[in-house]
Amino acid sequence: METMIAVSLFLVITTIGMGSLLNANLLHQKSQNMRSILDNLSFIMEDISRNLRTGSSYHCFVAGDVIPSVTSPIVSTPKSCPDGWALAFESSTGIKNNDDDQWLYYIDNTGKIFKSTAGPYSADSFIQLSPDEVVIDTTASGFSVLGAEGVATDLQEPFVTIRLIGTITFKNVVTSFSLQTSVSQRLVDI
Amino acid sequence: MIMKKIFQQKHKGFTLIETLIAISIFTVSILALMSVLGQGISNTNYAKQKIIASYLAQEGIEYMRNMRDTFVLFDASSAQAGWNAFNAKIAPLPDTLCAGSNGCYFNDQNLNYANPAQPMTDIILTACGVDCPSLLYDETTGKYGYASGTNSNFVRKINVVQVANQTKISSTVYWNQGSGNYGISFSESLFNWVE
Repeated sequence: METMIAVSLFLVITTIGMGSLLNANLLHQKSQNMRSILDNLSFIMEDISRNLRTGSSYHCFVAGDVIPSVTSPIVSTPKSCPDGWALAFESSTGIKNNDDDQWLYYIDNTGKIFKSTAGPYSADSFIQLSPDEVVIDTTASGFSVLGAEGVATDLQEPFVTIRLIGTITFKNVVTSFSLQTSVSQRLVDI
Repeated sequence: MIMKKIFQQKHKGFTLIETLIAISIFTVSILALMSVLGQGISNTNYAKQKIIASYLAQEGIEYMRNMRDTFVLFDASSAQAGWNAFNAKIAPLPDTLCAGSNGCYFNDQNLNYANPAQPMTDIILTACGVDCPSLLYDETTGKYGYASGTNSNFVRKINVVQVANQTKISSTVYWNQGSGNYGISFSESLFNWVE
């Protein structure tokens, strides 16, 4: 009788103990993975804002615009917009008259972020920055570019607002995020 | 006789009290583990909020910097007049508005992307009372601002200290989460760089 009680107590307690340990491990892994996805998002935001800050000649692509897949002066012509889905710019190491050395970031219609640092800007010159767990909301996210054109067109130091809004879906847990930051061009607009 | 007693006690097994004590020690250890895990989850959430807050705080600095550049570069009369206009915009009188002790917040709802003439100078600066208003988050446009949306739980405050030819900007974003209040602050010195 006593042995039976002892064994059953032992079984109940070990089951509970093991269950909670396994659960703890699972939770730990989930939060660790969530942290690395968040770090990745933060890295994307940091990468875009840092490069834009030191860059110049911002060209914003709005709905309906297409990124030219062959060498074209479009990407290096400054253009402002209140809400764009892609942004091309001259990097800090770029050469002014070269149309194939612009850097380009875009958000595609499936909600992924891509980057290219050399033209011509065909599909295979882009690399994906965001992990598959992250889906960017394409209507709310984007770039707002103010005063990109030269002094002949506008009297405004170039200024870009970047918005990254979306969801992280990881093991059936959906976490939403909404990042926003702005960048003022460091190069003097004269 | 004594030997017999000890022998008998050895075969008594665990008493109920002993079992209860053993189970409670085990439970306490599991509970400790659970609380550590809870802490881990709230830390992940804290990291997420801090990332958002740090980008919003940096945005405050960039707005002020862009306003300085736009005023100084494109003033109709001179760069010095532009620098003076920038300082008058953030503090019309000494120690008022953004240079006041409560700081200020900026509202960019008047920022007109179609206006070619110094649009950045149209942003509205308002002095904070004891507390600055919370930033609103608009789910459809994805923008943080003061024009539309729901309370984002973030508060952004700009503080300014003006010295001759130098304006020190501090941008702080506060938020509360769980039972704690948190804040992240960035600062930058802007100079009158056009002689």
